[in-house]
Amino acid sequence: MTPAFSLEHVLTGDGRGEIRVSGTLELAEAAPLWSELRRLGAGAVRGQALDLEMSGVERIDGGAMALLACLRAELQRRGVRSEFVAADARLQRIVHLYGGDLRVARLRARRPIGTLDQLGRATLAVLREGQLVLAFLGQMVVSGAGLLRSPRSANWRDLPPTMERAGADAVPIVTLISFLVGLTSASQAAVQFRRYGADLYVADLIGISICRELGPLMTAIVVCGRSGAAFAAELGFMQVNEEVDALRTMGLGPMRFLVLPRTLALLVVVPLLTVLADVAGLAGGLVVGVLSLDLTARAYLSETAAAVSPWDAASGLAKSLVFALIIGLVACQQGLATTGGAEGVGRRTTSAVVVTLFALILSDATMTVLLRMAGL
Amino acid sequence: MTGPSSSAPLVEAVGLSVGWGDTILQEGATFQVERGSIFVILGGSGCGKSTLLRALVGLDEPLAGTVTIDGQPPATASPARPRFGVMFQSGALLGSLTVAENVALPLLEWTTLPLEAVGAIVAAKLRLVGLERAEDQLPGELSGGMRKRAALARAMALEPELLFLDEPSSGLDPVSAAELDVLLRDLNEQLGLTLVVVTHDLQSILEIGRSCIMLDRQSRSIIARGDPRALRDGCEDPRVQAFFHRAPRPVTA
Repeated sequence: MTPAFSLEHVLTGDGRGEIRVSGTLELAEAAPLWSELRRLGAGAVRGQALDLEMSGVERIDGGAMALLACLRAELQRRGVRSEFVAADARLQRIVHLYGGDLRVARLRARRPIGTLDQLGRATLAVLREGQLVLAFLGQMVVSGAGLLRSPRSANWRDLPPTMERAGADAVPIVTLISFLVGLTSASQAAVQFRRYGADLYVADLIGISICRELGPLMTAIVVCGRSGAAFAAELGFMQVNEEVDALRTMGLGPMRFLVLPRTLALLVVVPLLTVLADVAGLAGGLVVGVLSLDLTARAYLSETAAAVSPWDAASGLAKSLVFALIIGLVACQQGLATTGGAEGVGRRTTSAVVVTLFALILSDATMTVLLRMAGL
Repeated sequence: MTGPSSSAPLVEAVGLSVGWGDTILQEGATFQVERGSIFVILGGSGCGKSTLLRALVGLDEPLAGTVTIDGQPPATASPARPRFGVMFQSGALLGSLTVAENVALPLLEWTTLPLEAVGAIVAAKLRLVGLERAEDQLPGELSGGMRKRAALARAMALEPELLFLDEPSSGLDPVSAAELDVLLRDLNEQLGLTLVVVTHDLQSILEIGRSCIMLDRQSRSIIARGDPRALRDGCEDPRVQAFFHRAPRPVTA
């Protein structure tokens, strides 16, 4: 199909060049217009003149004018003198609207950021994030202390529903996951232990590993995925929606009003969920012991009771308290650090989950090593 | 846009009723928007201006009545190149994309232009709205006024003949609002764009409006129509006078 416009390169008498533009120029035909403009402009060299002669233009829309103005700017940057000429008053106004009569500024080349620079910036960003989390912990401790002095200043009303959402609602998933982890671990252990005739010691392994490590850790991971992400998204949305600012202006600090109720709720429900996870994990091991190792339930449970000391269970619960604090701290900090719109909320929610998981694993490893060094 | 006739109204609403559920905000609204005009839908808060606009652009089904744009219903069953641009009150820019990417989005979707040409058009549109230095910024980093201007650039990306604008000057300082009015008038006069503007900004209404309808919340109907200046100076309806002279709403029995 023949385009509704035409472009013609003409050399005028005084050695100047012109691109004579005529017809109807619209965005619908912008692709052929663009390629033709590029072709005609390519031959012009520094010092030459190549004007855009507009007397034959019947109609032009903004998209087409943008392309013509772009060509003129590009020619000028290359040192080619180029202007819109012979445009009537109406066309002149459109040329002006699209900056076709402006002096073209020289483009500044952007210096690319080197790999080392990027690495340095990323490291500084991680360190700064760590600093912010620690500062947030400090604020939380100060607010917590304030809460002890004046308990009525806390937002206790949010505590029960938050405990219900983070605790009671998580019971089915925590139970199921812990049961399956106990079952899987016991199945793997049974194969190895049976070679040495040590079937009964599966109960020892499962009992200790569930109570000391897997119970608290699996519970924390589930709570992080459910409640941590929810806290971060909820506070993030409140932040971008200026609800947090509104609280501040009303004298209700977000720490006491939003962060402490959520963290306190986690400090209560995560240990309770851990106890549940321990029981479910042991039940998973018991199922394997009875069905696969031909042990009696009584023998399996007696061996578990003999192997697991009260300290094993207590150390697991102590870990769960630390995990609860980490989840509440990181999720709320990330949520309140949200900037931007929906994108910012999504970014901070992802970041909250990733940072929390990393912190959980790191703190678990640290506590395990320290307890081992202390002979506990 | 190719319509039945270039002299026919570009937008035509007949017996339009809008609202949600059992709540009716406007009932039986009938009006026409002429090609090349700036048509203002005005009225107090809660009278259904924005809801009417959503029905006009096909985002919401009207409770009753019909809307045609260039002789066709606004919404199409299958995805098709938009026949008009819409600028939302909040800007509604996609938060994960930069300003330039937001403006380029419709061009990349609906044209076969090479990236270089898309870039040229995007740069021109952003320059047009005074955002040439913000192309790499995310919407979250922009002020409210900048977001609105970026949204206007995006609405114009496909060179529509018709633009719908919801409260374009709300939340802007007087200077920015005046600049936006000048830009809208330029787009109308220089490029021949038809603009349908929903607003209750008096200054803006008088500055850019050439024809208007005024909606009323209590009667749920159009209570005045015509040139805004003529309505301000000549309409005897106390509700219209109260609106144009920022007076308290007249007490009705």
